[in-house]
Amino acid sequence: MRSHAPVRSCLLILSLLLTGCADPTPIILSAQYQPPAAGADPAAHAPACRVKLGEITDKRSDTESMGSISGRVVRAADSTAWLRSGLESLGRDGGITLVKAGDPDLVLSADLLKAYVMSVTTAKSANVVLSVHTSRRGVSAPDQVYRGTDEGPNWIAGDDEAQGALNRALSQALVQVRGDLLKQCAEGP
Amino acid sequence: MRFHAAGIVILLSALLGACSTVSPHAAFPSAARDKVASTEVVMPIRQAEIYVYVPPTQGGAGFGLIGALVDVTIDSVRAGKAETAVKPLRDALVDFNFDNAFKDQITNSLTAVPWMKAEKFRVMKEVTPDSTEKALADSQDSAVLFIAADYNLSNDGDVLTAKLTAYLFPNNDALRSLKPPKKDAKGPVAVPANALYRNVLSYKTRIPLAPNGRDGTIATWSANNGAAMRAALGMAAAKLSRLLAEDIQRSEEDGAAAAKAGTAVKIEGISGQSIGSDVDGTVVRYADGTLAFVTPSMLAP
Repeated sequence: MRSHAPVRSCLLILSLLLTGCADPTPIILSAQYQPPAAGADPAAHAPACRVKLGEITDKRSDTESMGSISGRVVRAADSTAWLRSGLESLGRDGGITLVKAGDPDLVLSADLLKAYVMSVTTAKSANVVLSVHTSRRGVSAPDQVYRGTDEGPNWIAGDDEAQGALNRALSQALVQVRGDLLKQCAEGP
Repeated sequence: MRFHAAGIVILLSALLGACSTVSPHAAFPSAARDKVASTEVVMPIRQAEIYVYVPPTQGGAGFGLIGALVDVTIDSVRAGKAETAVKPLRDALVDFNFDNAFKDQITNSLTAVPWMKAEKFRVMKEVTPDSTEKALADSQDSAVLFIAADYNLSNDGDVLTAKLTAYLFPNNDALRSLKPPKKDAKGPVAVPANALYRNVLSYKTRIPLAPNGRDGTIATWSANNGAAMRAALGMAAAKLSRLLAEDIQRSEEDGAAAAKAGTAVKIEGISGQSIGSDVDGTVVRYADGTLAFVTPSMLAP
């Protein structure tokens, strides 16, 4: 079988031409989570579950490092702010109202356990893992771990690709968090 | 970047400076021992979790640009499937910190090598040529030992490979005089050719393939909160750390003599010499001086 390494090289060169040149610069992620387009949520019409955000922590040994794609390192400007803005989006689709004071139905705190994007052959994979702790009027529920993932082709190892992959992975984890919060609220005190 | 078992060595070499044609192994010169005033140990570990190695697709070879584009698409699908397959194992290991396990074992093994005078040990998550160059430039110690680690499952999910790539760079005049750095005025210093010691050490173990393929095999690794994988990664960290501590003290002549006295073995089709064993497995030295610790499952016909 003939090797098509030269053709792959051409593809790489083509990618580099499209991006300007070989880019060794780090990808710096925004501290603001950008959620994918939202769909209609039946829970939006239910009585709102009032959630107060508690402590948000990045438990990783290196809170800046978010992996790498095609040799480009990916760094978080502020991983805790990114996660917090993601959790704040839980109130976006109805069913959940985020409150800062008063008597919430649930208090939620979260730890970021994993958050990275990596290359796998010519594709890329992003993973975000959260440990979420909730309590209702001082009574704690068991901690829950949620993983969100995103896989797709690695086109040009661009900033938007890395940002988008991690946002989608976080979004997938948040969908699970949201489902469990609504369930807890529906179960009542 | 491609995660490829053999490619890891090339990649790590490239990360430590540049593509290189130097031999993967160079014994630490005995004469240099008394010139080591202190050693900083830096452990570049890029990955956050275990992954499945996916070999690149070659099916489109011979079909030009279209073929390559098809391969890219196929790669993406296969990578997605591999990532989905490994998810249960990652979930089972979510509280397992390989970095810490590895750092602890390396610390235990290398503090027992008196001439190294190793007191500073740290893991580095951002691994680039610039970050390694900076780590060397910023170090106040007379020698800096980089030990890059990588661990992955084979595409079938049955073989766990953990690999260390070690480079010890001189960082004082006495040590540098033994091996003057090869570089131009602006070139990197942390390149394999400038290492006083270097080698690649691997740990390999295998579990039987499940009848239902990769998913079933990974389910075996994942069972009981990932017990089998936790044990294997723990053993990998321990065996590789001990192997490194022994190898960095071994002269070229002793290494060659041990290989000559060993018995021939073949690991995944590559010939080597068995140079030692314990209750857990066998130490293999390959012709290029690289080493492996393999469990009996890897030696089975």
